[in-house]
Amino acid sequence: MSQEPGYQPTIFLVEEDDDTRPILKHNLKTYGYRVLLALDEEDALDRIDGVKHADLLLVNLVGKTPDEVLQVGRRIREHARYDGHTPLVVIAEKFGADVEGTDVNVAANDWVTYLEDPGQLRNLLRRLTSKREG
Amino acid sequence: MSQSRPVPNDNRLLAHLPGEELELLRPHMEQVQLAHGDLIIKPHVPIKDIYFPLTCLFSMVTTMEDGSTVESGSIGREGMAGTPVLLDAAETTMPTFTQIPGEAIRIKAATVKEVYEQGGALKKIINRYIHTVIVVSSQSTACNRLHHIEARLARWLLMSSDGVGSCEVNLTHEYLAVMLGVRRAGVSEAAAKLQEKNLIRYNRGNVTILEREALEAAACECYHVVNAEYERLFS
Repeated sequence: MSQEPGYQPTIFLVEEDDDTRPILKHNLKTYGYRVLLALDEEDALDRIDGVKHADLLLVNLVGKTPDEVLQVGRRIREHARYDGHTPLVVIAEKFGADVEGTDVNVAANDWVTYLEDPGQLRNLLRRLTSKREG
Repeated sequence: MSQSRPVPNDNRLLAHLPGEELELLRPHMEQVQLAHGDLIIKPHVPIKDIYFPLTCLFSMVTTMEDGSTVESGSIGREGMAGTPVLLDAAETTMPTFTQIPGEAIRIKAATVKEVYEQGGALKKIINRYIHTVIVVSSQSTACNRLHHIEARLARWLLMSSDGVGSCEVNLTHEYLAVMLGVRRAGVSEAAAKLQEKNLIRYNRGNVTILEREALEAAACECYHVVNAEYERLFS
């Protein structure tokens, strides 16, 4: 993180899956982030109202296509009181081998990550939060 | 592709056969090289061949009406594919395909059944193996409900490594997600945790177990329960 010493970027995490949520939250904290957690879209829309600042919005929803999750993420971001340009990262679930391991910049501040390696999400988050901090 | 000079000792079931019964099967053994995705058992089609893995890993899959699939089990060098024939079921609902490429010994199902029905060592060994398959299946059902992802991932990596007899295994995120019954992000983050502890190295589907003992310690009890049962019956 290239920001001033001691700065801890905040990730607003929307994670529906009960198995993934604790380990993802744990890892994000280990990577040095402050994590604000929401269980689903409804919970996120409630909680984001009281959030003063987040450096990145990370969304992983069950049973939805990346496009549908992007729409949910954008609704949450629009609902926020802070900067509306916060990067949005969506974790894709079902996809082919052709996109495996890629992080696709689908709009100015919107990304879809097609996970293949354990370090992939960490690297993308670091890149986006560093760019924002720098 | 088939090769000559089968080496049955690399399969633990064949390795336990006494010489006489092994010699009954040996002329019918064909060593084959299998590629990722090779379908060796088709659903609802009579099974003609039985496969004993040497270095490959098979995956049994359950398919739902909507086309979604979930892995029901894996078969490595500790076992065999084609047990329905020996149980007089002739065929099965579950397809079996090659998950990790490698070699296997292929024998005509009718030949194996003939020796099996003689009631000798082969029958005893295969019956015990079928018992371990039931134990694995029961343990996995409980495991997927009760144990956290990191411990389950450690268990599956160890089982897959045992199955192919190597500390390096090719397992994609997608496959691991299906095996563990979790989402890709869960696999990714659990693997990240194991990697940070230097227990594994995971790069583009290539998993290398770096610290086996520590990975066993990180695995849930299910790995040890199943191993103990296998050792009780086969050592």
